[in-house]
Amino acid sequence: MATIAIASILVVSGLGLVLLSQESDGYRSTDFPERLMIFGNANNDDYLDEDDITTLEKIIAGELDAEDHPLADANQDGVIDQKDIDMVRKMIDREPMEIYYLNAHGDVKSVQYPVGDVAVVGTGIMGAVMSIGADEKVAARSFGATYDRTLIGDLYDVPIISDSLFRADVELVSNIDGITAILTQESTRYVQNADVFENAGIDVIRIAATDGLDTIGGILTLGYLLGFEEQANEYVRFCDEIISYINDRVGPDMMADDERVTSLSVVMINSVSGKDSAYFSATQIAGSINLADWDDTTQRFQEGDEWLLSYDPDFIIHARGIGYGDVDIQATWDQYGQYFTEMRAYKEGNYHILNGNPPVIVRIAYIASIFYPDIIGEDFGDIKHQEFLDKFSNADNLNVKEDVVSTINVHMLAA
Amino acid sequence: MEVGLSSLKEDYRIYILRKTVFMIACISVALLALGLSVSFGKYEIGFFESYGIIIDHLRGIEPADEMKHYIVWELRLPRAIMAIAVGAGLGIGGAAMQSMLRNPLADPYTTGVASGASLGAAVAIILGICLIPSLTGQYAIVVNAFFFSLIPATIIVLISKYKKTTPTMIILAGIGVMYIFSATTSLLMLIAEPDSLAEVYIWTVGSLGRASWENIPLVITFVIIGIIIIQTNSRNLNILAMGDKNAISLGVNALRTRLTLLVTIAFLTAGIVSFTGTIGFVGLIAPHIVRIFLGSDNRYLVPASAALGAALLIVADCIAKEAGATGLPVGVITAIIGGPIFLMILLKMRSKAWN
Repeated sequence: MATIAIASILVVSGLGLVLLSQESDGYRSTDFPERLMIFGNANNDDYLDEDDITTLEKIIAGELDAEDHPLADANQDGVIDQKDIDMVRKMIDREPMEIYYLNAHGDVKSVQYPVGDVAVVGTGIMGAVMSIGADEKVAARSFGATYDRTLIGDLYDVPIISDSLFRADVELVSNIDGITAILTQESTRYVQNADVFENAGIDVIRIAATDGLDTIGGILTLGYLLGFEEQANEYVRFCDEIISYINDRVGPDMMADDERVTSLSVVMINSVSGKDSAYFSATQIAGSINLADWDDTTQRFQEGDEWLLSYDPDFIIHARGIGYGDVDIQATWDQYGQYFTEMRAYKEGNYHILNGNPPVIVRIAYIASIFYPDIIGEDFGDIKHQEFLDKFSNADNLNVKEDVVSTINVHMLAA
Repeated sequence: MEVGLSSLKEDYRIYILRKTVFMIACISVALLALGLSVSFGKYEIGFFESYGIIIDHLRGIEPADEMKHYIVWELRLPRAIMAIAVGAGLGIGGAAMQSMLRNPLADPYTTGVASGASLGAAVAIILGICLIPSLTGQYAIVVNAFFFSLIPATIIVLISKYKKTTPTMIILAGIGVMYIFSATTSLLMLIAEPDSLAEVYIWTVGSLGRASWENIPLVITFVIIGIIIIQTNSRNLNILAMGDKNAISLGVNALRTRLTLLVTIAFLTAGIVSFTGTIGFVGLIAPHIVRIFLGSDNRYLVPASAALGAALLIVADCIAKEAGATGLPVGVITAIIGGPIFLMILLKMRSKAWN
């Protein structure tokens, strides 16, 4: 079962990488289905281009089945015809217009392209915006003590439109001129008052920004909507290369089940990730068999609880946003590790705290390094983290190895 | 005349017997549940295997399975003992509070102890501030909860002392103080990070999961001292039930007795709540159930409430440990079970129980 789960994730993410075209003058991936969730992307690749027109023409001519091309109906009138071709032609020319897209929940939404100034709600979406260099579009943000100033730079100082990380206040948003949309991430905890904004004519754009490989599609879609496609494709190239590297070494064809390490992942203080969690898939993408057998996103492991002690993973990956500033390693270790001291993974030095501030893809690189240092390379996480900071953040002055606490393990503690 | 006296003696003997049997029954249920509870939990360990582990530990035999030994000896046994102690403490606190204030809605938290403790815990968790600055983590939470829980009680005691208030005024003052503290906690929770928010919430629900061999002696000390003081004052509680004027005519200083009991219950509840969070309903319903069987004589009501409180809480904790996929905090179970029981008691309770 675990093999099938890993295989399904890695095959979907990995097979297409064979066809990657990594020319020096620009990255172009064409074999990942359904990542760019814009209606009009008829051939389901990462681009809106002439290939989509060709696909539409073939659908209209009956050479292709429309059901195999769920994003072909560009104008969402229920029919694929010349009007869709005309609309996609305008979209290829990047003309301002109303377009349709699938949000992170799979709902069909419309928005005025290109999206103007936005307010962002959530750390994940803020990171996604920064990754593609679209910070100039951000006019406001939700309150959030967990925003890391190192990564979001000057955006830290934009007006705040709520008293909570998860919310946007209608009146506060209305007070800021030019905001055309609220940008947020997939969890329904964020912007629960979306209806109010949409009734007021402010679009709420919900993008996959935290959930494993879905974030790659989220970035592509976000890049298109904001008019930052080139940067989004560069970032996607960075992600694809990491996945490809891991897949080539510990993918389903490279390693038998009994050679794999087992793992559990933990978020927040003591919430152990279930099958629906982004970290469940992250640890599986990194080549482990995650032992969680419950469907919920997380289950808390409280003081005095016994249930987790029935599991016996080789590794526990505890993801926490510990930022890019000074970190009290011992205090952090004590605070989060205290719940897991009786588990074999902890006793054998395989409990790792992973800095949750870098993007998901960098965290996957770290997790793979932790699981298989001899195969993946123990510096792989650091190398990719540095590459991310240099290319996709404002913190290119940081040296990951010297300035950042990316992971904490038992060997880093004072004797 | 002889027949009448003999009949009276027989009635009294039955009266005493009934109270004794009830108390023995409560204690038996508590001990039985205590015995069973070490084999309850999400980790599969059989009843006899659990006791084998305990006996081996007491005999100094090295455990064959460290994980099972840890679960039985370090988690389940302290938790069961804590359940007995906390249940007894809440039961006796509730009985004393209800009798002293002559109000069936009173419980150990009536003086705002729980709201104070919650604020103390929130200050430690959200702001990272402890009244003893060198402390961090769980120790900081316990210390803050304990001292903050005494603040509302202190305010009530001072109001009682200097304003010479009635029992009703004490309850109303308790409600007022509770709202102030709860509002402050809510304010802190509004600005809290998600992690801290969840931690405060879990803390306030009330759980026995924090029980350990380290904190049991402290809690037991608070409970034993509380039981001794309250039981010693049980006769005075009976007299207080007749009203302050009657109490004075019988030589009981109502104000001083009430203050003594208020301070005792405040310390008793603070000692409990700082380690467990707010476990509701036990202190409310245990005395009510006892009244149904034994009446309102505090000489029996107080110890019987302690015994029944212990039994109720440990049974609730056995359910809590088995509930759901991961178990539930016992505070959830006591609320789920306690609410309907309380309503049932209210509907069935003989009004004379309060006379």
